[in-house]
Amino acid sequence: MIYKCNNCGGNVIYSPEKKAMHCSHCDSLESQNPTPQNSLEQCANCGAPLKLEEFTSAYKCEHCGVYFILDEKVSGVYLPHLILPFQVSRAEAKEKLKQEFKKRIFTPLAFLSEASLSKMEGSYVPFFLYDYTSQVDFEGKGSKVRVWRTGNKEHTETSIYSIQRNMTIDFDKIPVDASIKMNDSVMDLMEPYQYQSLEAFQEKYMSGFFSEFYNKTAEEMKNRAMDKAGRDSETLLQETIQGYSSVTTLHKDIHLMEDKIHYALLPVWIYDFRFRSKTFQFHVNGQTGKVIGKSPISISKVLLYSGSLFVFLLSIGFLIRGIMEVFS
Amino acid sequence: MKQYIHYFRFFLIVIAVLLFVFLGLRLLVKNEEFIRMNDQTLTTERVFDYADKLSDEEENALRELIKETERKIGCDIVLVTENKSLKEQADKDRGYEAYIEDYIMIYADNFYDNQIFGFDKPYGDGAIFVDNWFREADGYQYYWFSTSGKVMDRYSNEMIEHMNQVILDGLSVSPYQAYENYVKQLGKDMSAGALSGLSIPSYIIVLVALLITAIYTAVFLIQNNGRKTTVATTYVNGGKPNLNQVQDIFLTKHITTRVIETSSGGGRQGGGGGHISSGGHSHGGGGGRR
Ligand SMILES: [Zn+2]
Ligand SMILES: [Zn+2]
Repeated sequence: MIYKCNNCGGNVIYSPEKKAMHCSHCDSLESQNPTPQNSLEQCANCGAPLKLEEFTSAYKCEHCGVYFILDEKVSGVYLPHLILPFQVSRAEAKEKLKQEFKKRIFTPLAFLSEASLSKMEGSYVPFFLYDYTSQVDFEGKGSKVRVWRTGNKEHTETSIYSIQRNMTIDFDKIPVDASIKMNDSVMDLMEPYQYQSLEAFQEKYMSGFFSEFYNKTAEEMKNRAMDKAGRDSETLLQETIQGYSSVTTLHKDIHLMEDKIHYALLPVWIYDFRFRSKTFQFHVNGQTGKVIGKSPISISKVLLYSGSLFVFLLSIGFLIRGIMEVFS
Repeated sequence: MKQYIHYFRFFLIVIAVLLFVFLGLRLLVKNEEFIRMNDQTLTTERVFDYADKLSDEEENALRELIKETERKIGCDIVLVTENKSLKEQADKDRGYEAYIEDYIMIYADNFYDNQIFGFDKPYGDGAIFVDNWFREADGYQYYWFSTSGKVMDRYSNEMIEHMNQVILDGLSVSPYQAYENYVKQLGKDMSAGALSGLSIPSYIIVLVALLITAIYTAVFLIQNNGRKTTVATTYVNGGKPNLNQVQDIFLTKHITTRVIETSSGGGRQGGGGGHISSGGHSHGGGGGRR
């Protein structure tokens, strides 16, 4: 689909600021007229040949600059159930990056001024969201130790308890990205998304952005979701077993029952910076504005700031001691 | 530079304020030296080198150090070297045959009392160290560190032991080194900071600063990629698990008992080795033999 403006023929794209379809040429709102983009070889707007990657579902024509969505990649088996429309605009994403770099005190000062932006694009990343019911059963032995003194004797009392736990955990939409391109650890840090903004899929939200359809099936990605559910179940179980000095497990069973799997598109801003012949990639959560990415580290800044902190702490410590001594 | 100052502005302000307070207090307090209140002392001498273990220069150097330290801490600091048996005097003092280990203590106490030492008043604040180079009947050379007034209040058994150790350490170098150690250690132990008990050892300050710096650096290096913002309950419906069964049933208990080896004088503050001399004045202190 290509969304063209009824008033001027320009490209209408989804605007996170206006929360509406917007034509940047004539400033019209919701003036879109959808034109199908069925071909995978040719731009339906200008006829230029397309060089698409395997999993592309939304792209920008390199020739005429129009954003299009490949209709057959968002329908049928590829039809997403849910979409979380971009809430952070391009300008806001840039501002978030700026703020983040200010916080990253070890980033060289020149990074912001010298780095060139080689890529900056909003992208919908394909995710599978898994619902699980986790049944946790635990049996163990715990000991509590109490120590007290009478006269010159020290008494140690060890009490043994039988610990029984049974809990049901209702996991809702554990996200796993289904894009090979996207680094899993980066996507994990990108979480969480606020699911209350999820909407039933509408193609128009993709206009103005890039996107992929799922690279792997929900069945293939399941293990990562189960790992997460298992780990969280374990953590939540441990949180209910408190106050013991030692616990031995007699029986533990974490059983995951799969309820539902949702195919969803979640928004991410991707920035590639070129700095001193290296590329630094940053991701900004298109909903929350959270920034993920490794920035360059300036060794001299690490030494300067750590060294300064050390010297300042020493000065404060010795001055406080000096003052205390004078006072007494 | 702008970023640097902005980043550390809090530290710079705190340091400036502390420095100002510190220097201000220093100026106010600097001139405040102790003034000797006892005019009954029979001598102005502090170094009695009867055993002739020190050269004239060394004696003068010690006198200077003692004079300076006395003003700082408000205590008389006396040093005596001897090279004779102290038995006769001890027996006379006691009126019976004194224990050989007690000779030197009796001598030290009497020396202090007879000269009417004491910085604040007769028999008041001060310390005396007596080093006898003569081998008594048992073949040992005895030494004794005797305390009076606030020095006695300050010195615990542990501190007396430490003082004697510091002196012995110096003795392995030279007698002068030993006696200098005595005066300096006394100055340290009786300094205002040490007295208040608030003085933080330097290595603690360095260690704490080092630790905070290490954590700071590590945190910023680790967070260079971004920090994790999910918890175990992030994807749990209702924010918490449903607990179907939570049971902690007491089964059994057993008690074991052991006897604690207590070290004597634990937690005791000052007043180590207290006793009353024949002159009726209380002294503390401790010594040993070699
Ligand atoms: Zn228009
Ligand atoms: Zn085109």
